[in-house]
Amino acid sequence: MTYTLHFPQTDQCFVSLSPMVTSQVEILQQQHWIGLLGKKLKAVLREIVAEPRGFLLFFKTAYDPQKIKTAIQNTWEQTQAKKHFIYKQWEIPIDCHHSDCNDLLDFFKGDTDQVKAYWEAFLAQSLYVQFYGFLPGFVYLNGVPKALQLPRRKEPRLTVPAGSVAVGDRYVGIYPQVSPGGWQLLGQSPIALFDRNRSLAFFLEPGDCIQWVAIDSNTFESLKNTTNLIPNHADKEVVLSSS
Amino acid sequence: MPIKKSFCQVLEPGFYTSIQDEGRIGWRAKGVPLSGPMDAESFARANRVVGNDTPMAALEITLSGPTLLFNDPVWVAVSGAEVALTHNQKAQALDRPFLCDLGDVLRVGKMTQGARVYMAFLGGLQTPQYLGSASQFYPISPAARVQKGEKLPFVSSLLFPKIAASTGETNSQSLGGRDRLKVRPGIDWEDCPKHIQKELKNGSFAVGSNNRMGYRLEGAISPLDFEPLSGIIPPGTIQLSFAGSLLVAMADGQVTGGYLRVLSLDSQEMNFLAQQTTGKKLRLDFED
Repeated sequence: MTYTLHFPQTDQCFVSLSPMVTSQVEILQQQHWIGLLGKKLKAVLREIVAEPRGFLLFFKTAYDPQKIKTAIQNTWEQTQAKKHFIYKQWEIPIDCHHSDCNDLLDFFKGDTDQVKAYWEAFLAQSLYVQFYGFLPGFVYLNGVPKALQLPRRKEPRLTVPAGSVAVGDRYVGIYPQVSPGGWQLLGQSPIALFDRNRSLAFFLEPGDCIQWVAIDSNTFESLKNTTNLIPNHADKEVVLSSS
Repeated sequence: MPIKKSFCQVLEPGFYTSIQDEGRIGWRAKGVPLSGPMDAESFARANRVVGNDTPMAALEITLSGPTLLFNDPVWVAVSGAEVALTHNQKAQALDRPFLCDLGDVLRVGKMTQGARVYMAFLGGLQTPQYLGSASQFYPISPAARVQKGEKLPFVSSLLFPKIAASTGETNSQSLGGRDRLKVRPGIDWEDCPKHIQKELKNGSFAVGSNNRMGYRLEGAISPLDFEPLSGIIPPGTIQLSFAGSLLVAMADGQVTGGYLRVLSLDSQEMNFLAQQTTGKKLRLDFED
């Protein structure tokens, strides 16, 4: 992987990565790099935000590009030495028969066999968090096999309910709040990805893995009414095979 | 000096009034916009004038303002656009600290030039913080803006600590009658086709629909023939929409977006744009 630096403003630096960061272990490596940079530049940095093509550093005020270059190169060398990465694997409950989500039936023109086959394949597929965006708490989940990637709806919905699990081309997303949206709705999760009253307002981190747990409508309602809810999770390890 | 917690009551909220501090720093990686003032310069000046050492939570008032009833004395200052400000029905100058006392009514009228003023309180508004900031942004904060009947809390005080701070402050630089917007190449400038780069340099634009999320600049730019990937959109980023208009990300702008990031504004240019209203004609000046 190689990087190039852009300075859209004197207090911003975009680190452009080639090729793009798309696999789970690459995302974890990028997060590790960002963590090292965050510590090294703590005194002058406001925050760092990652995306598949790189990451953006926001400085408190205009900052010396030469010092940025040195810090980025040094932390990149440190990052390359690391091969083992820890991430969390989450169990995310999903109700696929929820009345709010019937896009699969529309998409497969009422063919219930095809809908059933899609759901089975979808529930068996674990995905990983690529990045946050669009809305507070909206995660782009990567790792969707080609066969499960569906195009966006021709006409976006004006309101997608909070908790909707949806697919749009290469990503799956979970809507943290009611919003307009053009992705195909697959199911409903009772888990709030953002909850300002929960001790952990956001719980997913880039590189985390999620596995689906199919639930019925009774379980959905009882989980929906549980406060301060964080799903089951476990620490896992992944090893970077080549550099 | 005894500390007394008090409030003013919102009799009328105005067109769009929200509480803003310096913004919600450190949460963009979770998809949370920065928020904070649209015109940071006027926000900072109102705070300086009222005697706050650092910028504190204030009201951002858009186009036409609120009417407030005070329950205890507090020092207040208003800075930004040109607007009729009345204190107990008497005209009150902008950029000057003044004492609002028990039973006083403060009214911010319609703006005559510019779009936003800031009303700062000595000691700052004492509204709750969410993710480390008092800036209102739904659903991070429970409401997007100030509501009719709401009580805005402050710490009451008759004493004004810093008379010197109130002198010598001038009206906002951001109001100026210029018609050029200074821009820098954005993150994706190199991916922008040459003929579009030329159109951007020579084109003229008009401010279209706008709010705290963004400003649309309408122009005649050729559409892109490829679909860019979603990426990070820092405030000040100018994206080129498929329809050929420019979308300027402002304080509440989404953290990510799916259009080409062709240009970028610095904070001074964002302050200027935040004071412009629909129909304003602008051309782009390229720095460097």
